[in-house]
Amino acid sequence: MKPLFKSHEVSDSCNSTGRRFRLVDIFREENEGGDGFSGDLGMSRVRGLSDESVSIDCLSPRRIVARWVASFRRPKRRRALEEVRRVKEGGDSDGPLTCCRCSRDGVDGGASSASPGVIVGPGLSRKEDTSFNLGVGCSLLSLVLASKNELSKMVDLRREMEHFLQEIKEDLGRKDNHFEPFHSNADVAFSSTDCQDGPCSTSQLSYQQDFSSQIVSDAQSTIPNHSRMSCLYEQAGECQERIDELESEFEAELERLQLHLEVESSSGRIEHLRIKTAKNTNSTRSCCMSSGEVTDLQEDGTERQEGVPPVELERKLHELLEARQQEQIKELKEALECAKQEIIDKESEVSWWKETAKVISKHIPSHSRLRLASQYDQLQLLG
Amino acid sequence: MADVKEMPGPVIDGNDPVTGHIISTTIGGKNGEPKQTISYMAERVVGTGSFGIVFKAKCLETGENVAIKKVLQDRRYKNRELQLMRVMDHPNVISLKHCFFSTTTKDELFLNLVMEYVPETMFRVLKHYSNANQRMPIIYVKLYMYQVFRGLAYIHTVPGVCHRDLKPQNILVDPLTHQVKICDFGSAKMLMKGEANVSYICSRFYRAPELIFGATEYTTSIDIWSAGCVLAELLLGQPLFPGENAVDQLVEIIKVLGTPTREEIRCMNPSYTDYRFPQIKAHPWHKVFHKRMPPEAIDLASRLLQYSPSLRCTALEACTHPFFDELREPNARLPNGRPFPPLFNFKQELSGASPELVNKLIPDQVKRQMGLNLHLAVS
Repeated sequence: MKPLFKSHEVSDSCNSTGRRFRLVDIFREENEGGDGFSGDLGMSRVRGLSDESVSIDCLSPRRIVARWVASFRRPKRRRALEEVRRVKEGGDSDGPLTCCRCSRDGVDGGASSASPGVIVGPGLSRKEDTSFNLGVGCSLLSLVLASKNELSKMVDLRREMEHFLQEIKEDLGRKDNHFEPFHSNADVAFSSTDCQDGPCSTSQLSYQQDFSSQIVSDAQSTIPNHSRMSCLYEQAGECQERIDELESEFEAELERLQLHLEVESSSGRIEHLRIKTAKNTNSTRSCCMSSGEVTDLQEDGTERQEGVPPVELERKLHELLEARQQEQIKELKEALECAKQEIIDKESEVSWWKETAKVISKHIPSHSRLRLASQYDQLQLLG
Repeated sequence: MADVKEMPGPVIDGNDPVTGHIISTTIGGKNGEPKQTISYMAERVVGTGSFGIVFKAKCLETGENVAIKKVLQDRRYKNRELQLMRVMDHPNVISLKHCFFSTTTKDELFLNLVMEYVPETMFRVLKHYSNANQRMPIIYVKLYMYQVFRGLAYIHTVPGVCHRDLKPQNILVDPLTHQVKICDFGSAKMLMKGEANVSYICSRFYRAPELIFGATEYTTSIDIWSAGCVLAELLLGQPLFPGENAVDQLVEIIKVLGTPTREEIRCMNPSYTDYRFPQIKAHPWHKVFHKRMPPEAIDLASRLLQYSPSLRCTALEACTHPFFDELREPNARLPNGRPFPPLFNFKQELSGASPELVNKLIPDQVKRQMGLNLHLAVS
């Protein structure tokens, strides 16, 4: 069962690597553990062909290439081994192989029905196969070597592309959020003039142009033309650093603005203003006084003219309602207590009367009670 | 209005830059009028604020007391208060006597409004009573409030001005004649229909609810609300709606009037109609005041303090209210036996009033007198 388990593992790994198969992996594996790999292969060959069939079942390109490479590396050893086997086994050399394969097939079921054909081929024409393998392996190797270079270039290119895209994104974001120009003035004017070619130069250019146009529009800043031109070609690293710096500044500014807005939306400021004016209308008055007659500055509509924040009013009214209800509850409780006290008083009065009645009844003599009873009976008869 | 020289006079109070200064100004000289120099001796500051100062002064030529309101003047604009004060002419509105500009060493331009001097304010009178733990006698409440409404009726109808800051501090009272005069037109404005105005005017306790709701298209009825608050304060001895801030102010109003209905909110500021506020029950008006309060006083207060601005009575209607009937009685006099200040000498303010209203406003004895005068004038 162990080899089966092993074969399964191998096939799994083959599939998983097959999905994201990269030539560079093969190359790396070969370079790192070339000896171990070939040794392992050699061992499987020594142990028997059954193991080899398992490995071939997977038909992983990596395995094929590895085999080719292995066969290319140690043809002599293999040839000697085969000669020894041929001498020992003679014409029956195929017998145990098929037997072994049959048993394996029995365990595997029909899953690897195609494998015998694949195995039989190399078994029959080993010499041609070896030379073919050699040729293909060589060509593949050269291909691999060539593609390694290509790959590393691609990786670099990809990195650059990512960088470039990142910059474009940032640049766009910046343009959308009308950046304050005054920050850039000094920085741009005194930036280094190193030339930069590469994928991010375009975005940089637009970014810088954006800034410089703003600077030009700013009447106070006078930047010489040549320095402006030189600004267009800034070093990528510096630019990135500055972008990051400006971005953080911008974020802080935005946060501050949002806070400001929140404060305003809750009408804290407006309310404060109103309270102030309400408390002392003199301030309003002063404005009227000083700013004169047709339009005073406060009435030009630039200030927000909102009333009380409805949410706050609602909250206060709820509080008022609650307070009033609490008061009502308190009053009702007090009334209840009073009523209870009254009941207790009445009950004690009743019990006192009962006691009195009992005491009185005890003091009345029995014959008079009897007489009373007979009188009552007479009255009933008359009635 | 002409040149002015400020001459430092004898300094009586070292801490006060005004006291003791003599201000000389020349008037006339136009249209063939003779030039005339008027000098004022500044006596003491009677009011300060961010607007400037008001100081009491004495005219050296006539010996007359005046109040001079000195405000910083922006050279680019005309002063609205001055423009309005120039057209005001009513016994219950403070009158402008004269005005002049003055400059300082810092080249600041100041406008000086010389007005008649009235020694007391309603605020101080109220304070006097509350300090003595007393209520203002109801006859004075009637007399003062009637004059306030008469003054409001005039400014609302004749120049069409809304005061926008009516409060006890801005109602002057002459303690001898008990004549009342509305002063401080620093916030006043001629309101035009369909024109937006600022809502952050008027002192908090006296602010109409629509102003607290941020309404910008309000009418002169905001002064009526303020007058209602003043009336209630005279009756109670303390402010009726003492809010600590704008929201509290509205809560104080709601405590008495109850939560406004959707329709009432719509009348004040339609942008608040979407909100559903908790329903607070109105406090009955008769429970707001003490038990012996005349029902007419309560009725008038309830007619003035209405959420819907259009439901508040006008100043002239308020003057005809039964609460003021006592003032129209033939032999009505001040508690000290002296006659009332003039209360029925109406002029243009009656031009738009209905005959019933005019009939109610002018008592029979005055009508007869007027008729006699008219008769005399004709004959």
